[in-house]
Order: sequence, then structure tokens, then C-alpha cells
Amino acid sequence: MRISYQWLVELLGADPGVEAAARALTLGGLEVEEAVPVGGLLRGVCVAVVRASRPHPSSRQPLTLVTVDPGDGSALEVVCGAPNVPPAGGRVALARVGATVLGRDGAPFTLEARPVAGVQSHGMLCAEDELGLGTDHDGILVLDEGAPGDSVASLPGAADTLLEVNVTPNRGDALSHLGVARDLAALLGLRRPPEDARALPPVGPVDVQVLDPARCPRYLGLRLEGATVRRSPRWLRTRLHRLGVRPLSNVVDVTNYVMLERGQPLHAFDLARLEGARLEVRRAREGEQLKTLEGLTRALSTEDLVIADGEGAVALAGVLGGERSGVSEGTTALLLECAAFDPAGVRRTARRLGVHTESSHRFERGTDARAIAANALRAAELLGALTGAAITGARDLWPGEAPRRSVPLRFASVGALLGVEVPPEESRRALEALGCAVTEVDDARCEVQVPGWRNDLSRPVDLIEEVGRVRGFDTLPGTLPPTRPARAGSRGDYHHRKRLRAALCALGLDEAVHYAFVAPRELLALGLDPGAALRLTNPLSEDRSVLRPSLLPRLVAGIGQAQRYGEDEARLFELGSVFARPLGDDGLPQERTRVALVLGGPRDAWLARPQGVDLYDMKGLVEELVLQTAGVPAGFDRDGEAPPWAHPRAFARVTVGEREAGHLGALHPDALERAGLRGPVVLAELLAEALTERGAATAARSPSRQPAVRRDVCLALAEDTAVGAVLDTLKSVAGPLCERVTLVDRFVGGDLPEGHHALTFGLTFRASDRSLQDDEVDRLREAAVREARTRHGAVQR
Amino acid sequence: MSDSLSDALAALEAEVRAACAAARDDNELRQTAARYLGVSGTLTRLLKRIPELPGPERKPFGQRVNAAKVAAEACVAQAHARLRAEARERELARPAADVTLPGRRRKVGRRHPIQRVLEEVVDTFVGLGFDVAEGPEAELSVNNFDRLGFPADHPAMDMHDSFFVADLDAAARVLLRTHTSTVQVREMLSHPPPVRVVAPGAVYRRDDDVTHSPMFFQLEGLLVDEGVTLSQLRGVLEAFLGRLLGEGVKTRFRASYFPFVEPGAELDVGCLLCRGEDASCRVCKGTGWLEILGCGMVDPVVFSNVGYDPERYTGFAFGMGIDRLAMLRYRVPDIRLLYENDPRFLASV
Repeated sequence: MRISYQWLVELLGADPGVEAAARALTLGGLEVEEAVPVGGLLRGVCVAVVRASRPHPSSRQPLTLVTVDPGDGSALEVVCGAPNVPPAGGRVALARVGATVLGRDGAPFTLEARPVAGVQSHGMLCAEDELGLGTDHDGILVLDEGAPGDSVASLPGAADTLLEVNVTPNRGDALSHLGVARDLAALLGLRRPPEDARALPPVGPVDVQVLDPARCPRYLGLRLEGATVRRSPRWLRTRLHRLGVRPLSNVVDVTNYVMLERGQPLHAFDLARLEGARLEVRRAREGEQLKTLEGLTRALSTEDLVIADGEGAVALAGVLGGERSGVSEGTTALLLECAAFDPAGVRRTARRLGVHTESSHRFERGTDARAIAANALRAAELLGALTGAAITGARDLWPGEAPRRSVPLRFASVGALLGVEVPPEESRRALEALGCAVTEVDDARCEVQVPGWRNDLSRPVDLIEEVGRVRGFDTLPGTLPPTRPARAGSRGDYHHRKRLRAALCALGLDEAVHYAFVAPRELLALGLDPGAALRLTNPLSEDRSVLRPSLLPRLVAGIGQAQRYGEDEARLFELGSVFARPLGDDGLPQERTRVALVLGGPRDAWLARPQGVDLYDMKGLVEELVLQTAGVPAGFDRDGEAPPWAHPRAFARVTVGEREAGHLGALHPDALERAGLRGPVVLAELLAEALTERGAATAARSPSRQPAVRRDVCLALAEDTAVGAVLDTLKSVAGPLCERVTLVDRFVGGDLPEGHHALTFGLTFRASDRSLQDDEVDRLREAAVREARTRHGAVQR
Repeated sequence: MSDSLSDALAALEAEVRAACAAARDDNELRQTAARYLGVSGTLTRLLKRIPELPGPERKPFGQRVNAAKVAAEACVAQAHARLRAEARERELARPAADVTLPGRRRKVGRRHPIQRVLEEVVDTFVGLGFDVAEGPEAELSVNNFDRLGFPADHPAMDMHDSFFVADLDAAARVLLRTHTSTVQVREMLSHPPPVRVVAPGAVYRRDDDVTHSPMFFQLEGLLVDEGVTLSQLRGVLEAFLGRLLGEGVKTRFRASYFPFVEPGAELDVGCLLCRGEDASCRVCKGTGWLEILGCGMVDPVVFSNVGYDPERYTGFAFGMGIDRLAMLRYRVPDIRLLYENDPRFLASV
């Protein structure tokens, strides 16, 4: 909500200063996001009197040479292109050489003395828009105010500061200058603007009916006759323009002005155009339509509340007026609507039709039904002054007129919630400053009658907040609550993920965080079925329409993006939720946390020809990750089906303990092609919960201090023999004295038969209590080799 | 023993000494050693002759030749040491290593900037005695709105434009949670008071521009007990901010509105960049304050909705946007950069 500081000053009858006001409002919950001074440029522009004018002697354009007196008796001649130069004695706004005005593009520029069509011009007569006072550019501004020589900045409303106030949805009362002024008065301890208690004059009735009082608790129709519709005076146009409302005609401008002043949306109908000169407030009929003021024909629903005449709907209640009954130049008789509509109903209609108006914005947030008569009379007062119209009829329908809402308050509860001592007297004064009436029941309790403009105050806690606001939250001291021990066993998942993240970083992977919604084509690229994934009803775009069933599609797509920038090396992980059917008993999709790893591009190499990453780089990472986090070695096998993204030859199922944790593998060549990637790319995706620490804590081991004996064995093996099985054989046969068996070399080619490779295994032997003898080690080695030949066809080389 | 033999041995010793001194590398030295001390070396051959000698000559001959052999071995050892020293000298005198050649990097990965900030924030609250609670990202509408006291058809919903999940049972509307406040509800429904938790996580709103991402991260905090006050809310948040940003950070506590708290407030911190001294500061837009924390006292309606006694318990809740903190810390100009995961961006923060 844009607020004119000058207007606040007028309403308060006091000027606390812009900074103090902005600070108080901000701390009080009406945050001033910006305070922008306007009209500063006008200081160099003055009111001047036209002395004479004559046509330009030579220009073919309709230029006028105007002689003006800038208030000092001198005569300046300026060239003017406007069609509305007033006769001698008329007052205009003169910008002299050196003054700054706004160009057509809204950018300021400084006037220079220059000849126009051969005649020297000593300044410029300005239009409204060139001074930032309005939007009019049809002619120059002709003033009926200000003395010659006065700065235009001194004209009412010309110099101001505009406050951009962020009004939270609970504070419908602050969507007006009066509302903001009231709050400011309470916050700064100033006198609150007086309440307007005018009552309707005794005049004849107006034919108005409310058929849905639940949706329209109060409807006041005021008939005014004798209006002349024309342009509003300069001060009104300026004020509306500054506050972002386009000035139209005096009638419409007055309704907008009263709305900005008091927060009450108003609507003026042209009485002559209302069929039967009557109105009813009712639900729209099946199939009913309304051509609204913006010229659109809108289909209405029976849920919508309309204002209708004898022919049909003429306005969407609280949202938009209709075209047929709008005020135009020839209008003389008005029916002014000043009403209260049910906030939720207005909101539903506005949202369904996709419209948001100044009116619907206010009704959605609640208006002051009690102030309707006074607000209507305020509008009538201005209409009388500006259009000459007088009230000739009125009808105020308010069947549910109720006493002000009363809320009980225990004085002690105020301090108890705020955490400071608050004397009853302070609470009472604060609430009264906000317009409440406080009646003490006894020493401990009071009844608080809430003013009509504060629909948000209905419970004691709401009142406590008000006392806190007036005292100032910022004055509250910070204190610490008594400590309690944390609940046992409540921090599992977060802390587990933190450990996972640390382990993955230590393994050299950078963390990625992607949106949880992905593109169906990204799933397709990895061979996943987008139809099986959960869709959003209202995605921002097709590319973000599916809840990810896996972390891999987006990571792989990300590699593609990086490759387009020449970044081939990928070392990433992501830890995040994935979603799947079926729904659980709670109605929610299955949501699991997974961890995904991706390697792409060349393996780290130093000053050597780089080689691409492969399956075993990923296996090594996963082995270490699982050991670090789960505390047990991972298992790798080819049981079950390959995931659709994996290379059918180069994938593995990963198990931790007895449990399947996920898969790793090279990206399928088809997927590589579909995603437009340069390979190689190797992936893994594991369930985060499978990596939680399992089993009893391992006991520390006292290492043997005996020397180790190493024996190497070179075996020729068929390439389809699982090396893991050979390792197991060697280890088990070599027995407990064999500390470890490692694969140290692999050789292909030479005199080896086709499909065979030669593997060198290193066996390390050690006893815990003695030095081993060469011959006992050799016997164990030979036994292991023999068993490898028997079981795996290994030939020793 | 004849003098001639003695002379011959002395000459031989001198020869060995000279040969050892002349050896220029290990290989030459090895050849020299073999020539005199090897299996068929001169001195070895002399020793082998001992049995052929007459009895009385054997001992003095043997002693003399042995002495020559020991001397020769010492010579070889000395030469060996000399050669090693020379080799070391040469090695040390070689041109220095080029330290401008790249090192063999062992890269340690980096946590995502959002997670770095999130972990730091969570750990700070853990240090203040809070547990960590979590909830699902796909959530029932009733937990996201109704139980938190969001009024139906109220403009407060405008701040929470939600993504809904399609094809699900229409009776239980499922959406992507718009705030981590859902965890408040879950925590209170599943545990009796007192409660003292923070809930970090991803949340989703239908916004997409320089400062709004359709997915972002929040941290929610909730403390419920008897006698919890608004002053304590400020105290806890200031303790947190002091640990996160340094003691002495300025704060401003002002009224605000969130549907599930009453009173509602925001705690702003003094601008970390300009400290309120630059009217054109980009970070605080010249206000001198950064809005980072929404908070308030838990609305009694929420307590009623989760079965807590609002007459007995009070509590406070707070929430902060982690992305904004990350953007402030790493000077990220556009929130979308955080989710593009461009390796060049990730390497820069």
C-alpha cells in the first residue's frame, strides 16, 4: 500500500517527521519498505501569470509565443506548443532555463535556452506529466491556485514523501490513510484522528434490496442528483496519481479518494442506466453474464454475488463494476454503493475469475461495516463539492447490526506472554490508544470492546499482541528459557546425512542440490518411465512437472549442461528425497532419501595422457563410503535386473549387510546418446538409510609386532572367472596365518590363450606370536595355488 | 716369510688402494673388489695357496695375506662410502625441483553452499539444546495449512502458492510443503510437551525469479513448555545469531504476521555488508537491516488442533530461509544459481 506522508500529517494534525513515522510503523508491524520523496524537482518551477500571447511568426506548427510574468513584474517570452494557453491573467507553471522537468520518457532533463523555430524561448510552460503531478499531456497545466512567483512545490500535495507500506493480510484496516494514521497515532502517542459519527440525513428511500445478507451484511445506497461529470481539480488528480490510481473523472476519482482515505471501496452507478432505477444484491443466476468495466464479458457462477438491476447483473459485488451502468460524461444522477461483503466470498469470486482489484483486495481483508454511513457521507460531501450533486435518497440495509465485539482480558496474561512486567494501566492505555473501549471487571480482568476497523482482534492473545506492539517488541529484553536435556534418540536422520555428506566430500565429490521436480524427457533419457512417476497438478513448466523417482536423471542432465560449457570432469553427489507410488496409509507417496554419486570424464592423472573413469573408480568410492558410514564392507553382485540406466555389462547390485542398498554402473550407451553426453559416465544410487551404522561397535585391534612374509603368485585365468572368488579361495586356503590377499597386477596378451589374463596376487603372512619360517609359508602358498587350479582352472606362471 | 712376499703384498695393497681411489662409480668399484677379493681374485687365490705351503710357513703367510685382505676390504668400503658421498653431492647439486609444476591434487569435495549454511545453523541450535525433527516434503494439505490455523479463503494463502501432486486420492490433498512449519504439527501430534526442536528441509512455492526459487530451504524452530515468553523467543534467537554471525550483532525485533503465531514478529539483523552506513547498499537496500527470521508465539488455535492445552502451555516458533543466508554469506546474486549446480559456480563458493 502506497501512503502519502502529507496525507497522514493532514489526518493526524501533527508532523512527527518521515523517519520517526517510518520507524514506528515498521516496528509496529506496518513495515515501511521504502520512503521516496517526490516533487523535489518542482522547486525550480514557479507559478507565472500570462500577460499576452501571439502566434509564432514563422513556424508552420501551431506554436504560441506567450509572455509571462514569473511574479517579479518582469516579462519572459516562451514558446509553447499546447493548445490550451489561457488568456491574459491565467496562471501557468513556468520552468525557467536551468530547471529540471520530466521528458516524455519520464526521465528528468534540464532546460536550456534555445531557439524554437527561430524564436528564443526563455523557459517552458509545463504539462502535468512534465512535473510529475499527473498523467495529463493534452495541454499545459492551468492553475487556479498559488500566487505568481510561488514555487509549484508549495502547491498542496505537490511535494510529498511516498511510503511503501507492506500491509500483512491480517491488517485490512491499514489499507487506508486513516488506518495507518490511527496506528501511527497509537505507536507514537499522538492524538488519534477523531471518529466520523455523521448520520444519514432525512431523505427519501432508494430501491435497494439484499437477498443474501450472509454475503452482504450491510448495503447502503445513496442517491445523488445534479452532478456534473468533469475532470477533477489538480490537487485530487495529483494525489491519486502519486498513489498509483489513474485519475478519470470527478465522480470516479472521489470514490477512489475515499477508498484511499478510509479503506472503504465504493461504487458509483449511473442511476439513469439502472433498469427500474433499483438494485438488488443476490447470487448470480445460472448462465448469467456480466460485461465488466474493462470490456470483458465474464461468465458468472451461482457462487458469485452480484449487484443487479431490473435487467440483470451490473456489478460483481466487491470486485468489479459493470460497463452498462458505469458513470460517463453525461451522468447527472448517481447511485452510490457503500457496502460490506463477506471477505471469503469476494476472494473466491476474484480468484475464480483471476481478477484482483483495489476493491477485492480490501474486502478480502475485511472492511469496517460500522463506518459505512460515515464513509458514504464523506464521499457525498466531496461529490457535492466537486460535482454539485446533492443527496436525494438513501437506504441503509444492516439487518445484523451488532454491538461492538467484546473480548475478555486478564491483565496478568499480558506480561506472562510477553515476558516482562506490564502494569494493568499500561495495557488499558495501549488498547484505548488503538480505539478499544476498556471496561475493568475487577483488579485482574477487563472487557475490551474492539473498534469496528479491527476485525483481526477477537481473542485475548490478539489483544496481548496489541499491547506489545504499542509498548514496542524491540524494547523486550532477550532472556533464555530454562534448559532441558535433548530427547534421547531424536536426531537420527539429520545427523546420519551429515556424516554421509562429510564422507562423500572426503572422497572428493562436490555436492549438488537440484529441484525435486524434473523433466519427463530427463527420465526418458535414462530409460525411466515418466508415466510411473508422480506428476504435479500445476507445474511451473513441463520441464519441472514430475517428482523425481531417482536422483540420477537431473544429475546426468547437469553433466550434459556442464559439458556444453567444456566441463567434462564430473565428480558430484546429491543427497535428497525421491518419490514413488504407491501411497502409504497416510495418503502420502513413498518418500525416501537417496544418495547418488556420479563420475564423468577423465580420471585424475598427473602429466600423463588421461584415461576415462570406469566402473572400478565408482566401486572403490562405494566401498569406501559404505565402510566409512555403515561400518561394514559393501557387497557387490549381479543378482536381479540391471537398472534401466546401467550398462548391461558394467553394473553391480550393492548390498550392505544382507540388505540391497542400490546399484552402481556405467551409464548405458543408449542413455549416453539420448542425453547427448560425451562418455564415460559412471553412476551409483543408494538408499541413504542402508548406510546407517550397523552391528556392534568394532573392537580395537592390537596389531602383531611380528615380521610379515610376502609371497606373490601369478595365475593365468579365464577372463570370465570371477576374481573375487579366486581371492576368496586363496585367502581361505592360505588360512589364518594369511593376513591379506591383494591383486597387484593384471596382464593381458603375450603368450596367454585368447580370453585369458594373468593376475598377480600378493599374499601377506604373519603370525601374532612368532616369526614364520620360509618353508611353512611356502607350503601354504602352494596349497592355495593348488586349490585355485582345482576350483578355477588357474595355471601358475 | 720372505721379504719378497712382504714386498709383493705391500705393493698389492698399494695397488688396491690406488684402484679403489680411482674407481669412479659403483661398477668400477665392484670390478676392483672382484679383481682382488672375488672368488678368483688375487688375494683369494693367495689364501687358497695356504694348504700347499709347508707347515711352519702357513701361519705367518696366512696372517699376512689376511691382513692384506682386511686392508683391501676396508679400502673398498671406504671407496664405497666416498662414491656414495659423491653421488649424494651430485644429487644435491642438481637443479632444484620446479615448484611451479602442478601438484598431484587430492581433491576434497565441497558441500553445497546451502547445506554448509544449513548444517551450521542446525548445529548452532543443537548447541542451544534443540533436537532435530524432520518431516516429508510431499505433505497433506491439512498439515501444511489447516492444522496451522490458516483460515480458508484468506489472503494469507497468497504467500503460499502451492504445488499439488496429481492423481492422488482427492480426499487427502497432497502438496509439496510450502514451509517446514508442517514439522511443528507432526512433532506436536506425536510427542507430548515439552518440545524443543528445529526442523530443516526443502520447501516449495510456485515462484521463480531472481530472489524466489520454486524450491528452497528453510529451518523451523519450535519450543513449547509452560511459561514460554516472547522475550525468551528473542533471547534464543539472539543467542543463535551471536553464535552464527558473531557476538555483538545488532538485532531489531518488530511486529509482523504469520497465521500460526500470535503475536507474530520478525527479527532483523543489522546489515552485514554496510552495517547500516550505506544508503545505497545493495544487500539491505539502504535500510540497514536484513530480514531473515519470521517468528512468534504459537497461536492457541494450533495447540488446540494438535491436542495441547492452550491454557497450560505456551510456545514460540521461528523460521528462516537458508537460501537467503547462503546468498548473503557467499554473495550470490541470483538464487537460481544455487540450483543450477554449474561446476564453475560450485567451485567458486
